[in-house]
Amino acid sequence: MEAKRAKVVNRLTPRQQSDSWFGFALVVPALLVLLIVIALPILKGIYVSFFSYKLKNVGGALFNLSPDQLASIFRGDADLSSLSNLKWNDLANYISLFKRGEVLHYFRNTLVFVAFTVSIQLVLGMVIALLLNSKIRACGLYRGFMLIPWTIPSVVVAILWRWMLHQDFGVINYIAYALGISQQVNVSWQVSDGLAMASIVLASVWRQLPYMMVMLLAGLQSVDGSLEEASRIDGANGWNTFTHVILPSIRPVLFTSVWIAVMNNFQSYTIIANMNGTGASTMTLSIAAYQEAFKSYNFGKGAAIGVMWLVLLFMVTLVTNRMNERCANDYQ
Amino acid sequence: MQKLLAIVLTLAMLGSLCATAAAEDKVTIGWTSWALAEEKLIPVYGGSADAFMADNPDITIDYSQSNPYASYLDQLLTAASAGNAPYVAHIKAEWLPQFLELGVLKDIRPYLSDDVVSDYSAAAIAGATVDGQLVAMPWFGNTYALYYNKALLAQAGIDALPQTWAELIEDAYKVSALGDDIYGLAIPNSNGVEAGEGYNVFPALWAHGGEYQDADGKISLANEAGIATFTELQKLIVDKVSPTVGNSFKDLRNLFGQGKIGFYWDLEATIPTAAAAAADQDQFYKDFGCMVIPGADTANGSGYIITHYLVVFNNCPDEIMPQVARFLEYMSGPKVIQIFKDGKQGKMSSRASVMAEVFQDVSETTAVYVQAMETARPLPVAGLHFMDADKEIVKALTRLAQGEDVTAVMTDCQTTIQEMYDEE
Repeated sequence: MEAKRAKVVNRLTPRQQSDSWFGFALVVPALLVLLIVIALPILKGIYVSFFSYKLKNVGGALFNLSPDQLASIFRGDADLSSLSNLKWNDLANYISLFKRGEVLHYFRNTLVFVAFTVSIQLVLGMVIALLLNSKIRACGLYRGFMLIPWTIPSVVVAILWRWMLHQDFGVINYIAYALGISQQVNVSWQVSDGLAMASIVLASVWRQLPYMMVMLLAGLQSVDGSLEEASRIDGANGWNTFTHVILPSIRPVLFTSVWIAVMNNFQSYTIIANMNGTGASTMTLSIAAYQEAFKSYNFGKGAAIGVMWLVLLFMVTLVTNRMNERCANDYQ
Repeated sequence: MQKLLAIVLTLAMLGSLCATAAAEDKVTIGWTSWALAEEKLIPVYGGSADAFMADNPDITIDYSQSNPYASYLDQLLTAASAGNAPYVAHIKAEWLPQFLELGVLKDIRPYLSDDVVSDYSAAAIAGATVDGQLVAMPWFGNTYALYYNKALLAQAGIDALPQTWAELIEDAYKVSALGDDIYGLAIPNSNGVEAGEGYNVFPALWAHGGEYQDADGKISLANEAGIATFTELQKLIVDKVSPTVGNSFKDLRNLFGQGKIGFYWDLEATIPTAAAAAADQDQFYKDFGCMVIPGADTANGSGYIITHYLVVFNNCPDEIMPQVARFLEYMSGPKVIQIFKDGKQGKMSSRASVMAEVFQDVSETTAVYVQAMETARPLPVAGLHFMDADKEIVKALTRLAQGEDVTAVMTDCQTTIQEMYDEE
């Protein structure tokens, strides 16, 4: 009886059905655009990653179909493998990446870069956001100044930092030497793996810090003041208030900001390429994929790197979403 | 009044039709070069096309399509594969295999005169000939000579220029002893930020009797000569006689201009760039000197030469190939090479008559580059992966700078490059 009632309740009126179809029709163009600009390129990327796809294959379309071939497909007697100008290469693109351990090296560099860049900007961004959220004088002015790096194009940031860290002309080397931090004036920031990675993390953090700071500041400004007041009345110190009141209150903002930062840094190309080029110590997935596809013109291998990158991001997304849901449930 | 207006409009319309018909008689050839995207080079490169059009009023050269160097090759490959590239393009010799891979180049030999072809050195024509087809017109070559700073050499007590490679290294150590921020011999390595730096070590390799590829075409960087070369280069970097990782050619020009480098090799056209970094340009030119890169036991060793080609794409109609051939012959002829010389571009021709005509009366510096041309060697660019190999050599130099074992590094480098070549 209950089920029957529910069925009756859920049935749409003709007017509602019409509205629903109309709504769907309105969404179709957007879906089509998304299909063409996102889904198809992803599918094509996955497809070509299994083939030998180099410059010589670029001359024609992915499938070169003559009218005769098209007719034979419709008749059902076509040899489908002969229709593509790509050649299946027995997973050679993937095998070559694993054979030399290249892909593991790219994964490691990418994870190190993302982990350091996001954590440093999160901590610094939180500290600055807390300071700007307190009642300090000329707060608006500081906030304005803090936003400047965000307005500078990435390529300019890369060149700026490259010069500041330059072995022979770099101001940072000079300051480090003058302060006695370094024993030599012309330190190369690219010769050591650690310093090379540190240099791109430094530049990326400097560029992205304002974004994190603004997001967290927006979150902090939405925290209910009465909660903080109540915690103080209950005898909580500053740290306890921060960890037990402020952080849970801004958790959605925190997750979103960190997640966007992780995604951006996984795709980071401009700063790394213009600071350290193709240096092995900073060869991340994005640099490697670009180099393979558009410098070595091995589009198949470039796509294979892209596919593994996609899988990694997909897994990270799943884990993060699960964590976010669990935390949301804990809080409720 | 209305009738008069109608007649005038009709005449104007007929006139414009006639003008269009006349314009259609004039052949238009699209031409592109990355240099056309650089403002300071337009007077030379664009000026060459303008000179051609002045001498050939029936042909228009449209050089409005150009891309900066960083994106030039990618854009040109894409356009060529799509069949809508400008008919004629300026390329570097090391890019030729990629265009051959695409199969987009026209055989230009049937359209060129025998006189012009026979004027070229046999090596120049052989380098542009594939399967019996002349797929590119050798335009000009850039060769390298060794810059030196006379003031630094004098301070280091060097009163005679090095006559052999060993003397050069010895002098480099003397110069670098002048200070922590002074380098004796600079070799560029921007760690891949700039392309085409790996092959810069070839003069050192050749001076040690080594070769990039052996007689069978196998990569030979890890043999005795290769190990000796890269051991020496590692020592130069570790001893701070050469800069470590992070200096591109552009950086070295600045450092040389500032008087911080004793020796390094570079192109003639880049001398003003180095001078621009000097605090006192007059003093820079007083202290500046250049010589041929020394070899193992000779002052006339070998630098390398980067050949620049003009290629014609398949989308160029056969009907206008005679006009295109006139353009190609003109561009490689004395008038254009003279324009380059007047523009202090340091471009040398592979055509004997052009060299004899244009480079008769030259400055002391240009004379060194002309002399360097006699022993300069072309880069072994035949493989599709030459530029990838170049990156591997740069990676090897970085590993050497980190102090890794030379034999292990060079064996890895050789294996990786060989695998790339074997994949072709």
